[in-house]
Amino acid sequence: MAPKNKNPNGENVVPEVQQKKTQALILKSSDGEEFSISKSAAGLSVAIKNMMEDDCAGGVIPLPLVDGGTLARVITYLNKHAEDGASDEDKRKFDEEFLSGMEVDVLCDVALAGNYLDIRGLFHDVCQRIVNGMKNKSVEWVRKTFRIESDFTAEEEEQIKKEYAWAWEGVDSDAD
Amino acid sequence: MDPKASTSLSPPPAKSRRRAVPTTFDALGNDVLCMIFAFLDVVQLIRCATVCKSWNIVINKLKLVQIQYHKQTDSVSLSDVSSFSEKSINIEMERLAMEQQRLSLQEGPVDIFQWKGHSVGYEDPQAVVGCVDGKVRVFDMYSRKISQIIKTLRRLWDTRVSPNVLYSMHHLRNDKSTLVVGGIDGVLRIIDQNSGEVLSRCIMQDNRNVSNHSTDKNRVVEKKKAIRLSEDDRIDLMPNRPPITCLAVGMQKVVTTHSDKHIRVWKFSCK
Repeated sequence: MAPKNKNPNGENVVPEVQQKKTQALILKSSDGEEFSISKSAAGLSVAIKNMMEDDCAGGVIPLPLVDGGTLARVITYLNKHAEDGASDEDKRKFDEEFLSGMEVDVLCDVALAGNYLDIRGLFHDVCQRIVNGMKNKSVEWVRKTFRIESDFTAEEEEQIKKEYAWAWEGVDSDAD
Repeated sequence: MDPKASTSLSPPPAKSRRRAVPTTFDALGNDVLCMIFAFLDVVQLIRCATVCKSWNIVINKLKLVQIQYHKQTDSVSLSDVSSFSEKSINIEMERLAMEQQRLSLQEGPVDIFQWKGHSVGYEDPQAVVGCVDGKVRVFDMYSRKISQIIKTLRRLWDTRVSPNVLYSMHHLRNDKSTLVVGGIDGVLRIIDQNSGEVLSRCIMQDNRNVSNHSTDKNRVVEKKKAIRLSEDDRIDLMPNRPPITCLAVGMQKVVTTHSDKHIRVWKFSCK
């Protein structure tokens, strides 16, 4: 990412970005865990970047909406995406593996953190991942997967289904 | 530390102990839910609207926005959104869904799931029958009456749909634009219901190297890619075209049976 610049005398100059990168921030989770993260990685979060630009990012940044487990995951993601020399292909592969093992509740946590910290790529991918779990699935399957209890009466549900009969053509069997 | 920092990312205090129970969808709140639902298409949205009341409310709001968007992009005169009755929303949503059906049949990528079998059933109260007099008749399977005759004034279409015999055709009940036909040449054709013009032709890609997925202990389902033929592709040079003996159309998918004892499900996606 940061190219090695040479000044007119032919000496290597460390670009400003590089210097920034070595500096670290401390992020503190809701349950009191502290994580060190480079400024360049943390800057991928628009929320933290804004704080840095406003000079509010000195010392420890408390993130009271994000628990330690989730924050650790988010930081893993940020570090990978801020890594020098990681190609887009590397990142894409990483993203896929990063999300593939997650249970629904973890996905929700990460989605919330991604939204709260305004990490667009992460939030987008998590939403896509959650939505993939709904595509072509029956309503019962969606309820089970996302642990939602229906608060409709049987009659109400029947009524909605009747209004939109065409939407129920071609639902996958739940085994797919 | 700077007081500004703590205010800018400070939550309502009650939420910080939320981790005691696993996070559920409720915790996402309407804003995040909205953004997740924005990834769904019309049909998925309607299905998800029956999951629970809070989803229903969020989705009903989204639907209004979508309709408004389509009204604008279609440059239809803008009427006040609040004047939409529940009924006209339904009609509008159906129109959008059928539009999506048409586009995915015509242009979207196609996956084929193929397995051995010898018959296919489909739950749809209507059947479309092609007749020797060139008419296409739509039968209601319950009353056994003809519910709609697509074209009756002249021979259905002046253009020949296929150089070969057609064995089967079908369309989605509410879809007024496209018809899917299959015949002896094994090519799945997407046809304009009104003009008879062939909009797209699909066959299965001849790719024997693709690994077979065994999703069931008793039968092997193979996943294949379909390819869309261009105007000047010569069908007679294309391999792997078992005649289509029967077909049925569902939302963004077509089920076909073939004379070589295969059943295929063609899944059409949005572009």
